[in-house]
Amino acid sequence: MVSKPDRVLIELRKVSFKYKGATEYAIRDISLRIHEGEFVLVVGPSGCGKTTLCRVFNGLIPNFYEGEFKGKAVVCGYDVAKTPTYILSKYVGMVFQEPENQLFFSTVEKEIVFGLENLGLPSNEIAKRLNEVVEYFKLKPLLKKAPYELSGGEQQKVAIAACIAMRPKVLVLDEPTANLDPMSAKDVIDLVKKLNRERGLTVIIVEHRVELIAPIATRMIVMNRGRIVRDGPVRKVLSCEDLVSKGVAVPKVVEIYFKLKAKNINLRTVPLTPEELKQELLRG
Amino acid sequence: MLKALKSFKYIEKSTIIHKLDPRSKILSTILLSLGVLVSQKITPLIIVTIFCIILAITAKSLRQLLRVIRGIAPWAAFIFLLNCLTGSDKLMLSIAMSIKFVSLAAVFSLFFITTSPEDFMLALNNLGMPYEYTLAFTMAMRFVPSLARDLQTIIDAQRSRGLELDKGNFIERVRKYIPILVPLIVYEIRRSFMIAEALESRAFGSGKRSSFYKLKITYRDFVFAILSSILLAVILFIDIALPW
Repeated sequence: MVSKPDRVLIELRKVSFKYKGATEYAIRDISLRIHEGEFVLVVGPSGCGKTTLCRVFNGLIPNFYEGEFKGKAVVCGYDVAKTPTYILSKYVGMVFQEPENQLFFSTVEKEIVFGLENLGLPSNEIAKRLNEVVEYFKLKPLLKKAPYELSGGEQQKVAIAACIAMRPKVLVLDEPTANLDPMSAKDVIDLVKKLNRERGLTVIIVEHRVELIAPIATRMIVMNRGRIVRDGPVRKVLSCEDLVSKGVAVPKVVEIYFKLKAKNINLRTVPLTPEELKQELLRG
Repeated sequence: MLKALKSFKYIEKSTIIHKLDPRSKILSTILLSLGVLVSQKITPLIIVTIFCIILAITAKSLRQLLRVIRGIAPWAAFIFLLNCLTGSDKLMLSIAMSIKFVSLAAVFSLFFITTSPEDFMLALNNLGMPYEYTLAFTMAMRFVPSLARDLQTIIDAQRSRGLELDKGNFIERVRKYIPILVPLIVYEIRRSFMIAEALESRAFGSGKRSSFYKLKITYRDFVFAILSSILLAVILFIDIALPW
């Protein structure tokens, strides 16, 4: 890749936000930097501010949602407080939990074209990008179908494709697999992984299925009550024993790691997959 | 009536009529419905109805059109009766009035049967209507099935808690729909926020939109428009010249 590996794409400095009419801040004093190419997993109990944080990344907060915004958030060089979402959406693609509510048209093709039209691209460029994502996401058989005829997994794939067609630098996914069955969830996550590895796309994903993302993420952020309580490489964060008390569903293999530790069997590192656990055990 | 409304649903077919530019279809619909509204006699109204049926056959959509006509038949009969009762010695006019209703319905439903909502909206955009308005309409059509499903889910949920929708007199039944409508409205408001959020995230609202889909007028559209104009002239002529 040509790009510099440590380029900062998102920088938040002491960002707090309180929704209009709310008594408490949804997020408080959040400071973080996200670099190009990172794969960030964000976890935490419901209502801890994960979704609010995602909304800051593409400027829905403070532009779409009214409330009290403090601190400074810079995304791809733009101050989000001064930049409308339609400009930021060129840089930050956003995929939401409910696939149905982000698909508005009667065919998959029109769905992908919509964002490109909004960017004001000429027809030949739209056709080019349409072909490109159709090829990459293997959407050809779905192109003329109505989004509501598709399965949840396919819908989410189309939603991601529609974002990617706009060529964002960052893809933010807010619980993209919450309404999917385990198999479709894995398909969607594999697709996101592919985008990160092959295209160097920066990914920020909020997900409760930690065991699915932990092996592929490069960084893990744990939130609780509107604050970031842990932030670091996945293995390091998962080796903190207090995660469960912070409302994080740690993967089974990590639980086993701690149970072994309690019985004085110390593995070298926290395993992220059953295979890793097996290897570690065989080594010992 | 509900069945008649369902027949308005657009089904994609590849026929000459479906492929016509929506603008020429709008023009023809306006011309024909003007002719129908002005006409007071039976012959021109029957001609329009037959014209619609021929078009429906060409568009391979005769069944849909007939379903619409069957759906509104009781209303046509009602109009006929009402006219007979209110005026004396006006049998021909009463018949004309009910045929008028049928032919008007045929003209409009033929348009919606053969034109996709998106093409219709694109035509309206081209005729100067702002994109925001037509998008709202397209999305309203798109979310009808979702709304129907939400409604069913809420009905099922409330029924499983013991709500009996089928019991009681009219007023009691209406009152029983309150615990269904309140959650539905709340949920749809939340849904509309989610949709608005997703729209914004796809760069909607930047103001300098381009349009990928373009309408194209061909010689067929000219032929169709001229044909409709001639038909209008014939209707007007017969209406003035013939006794019925």
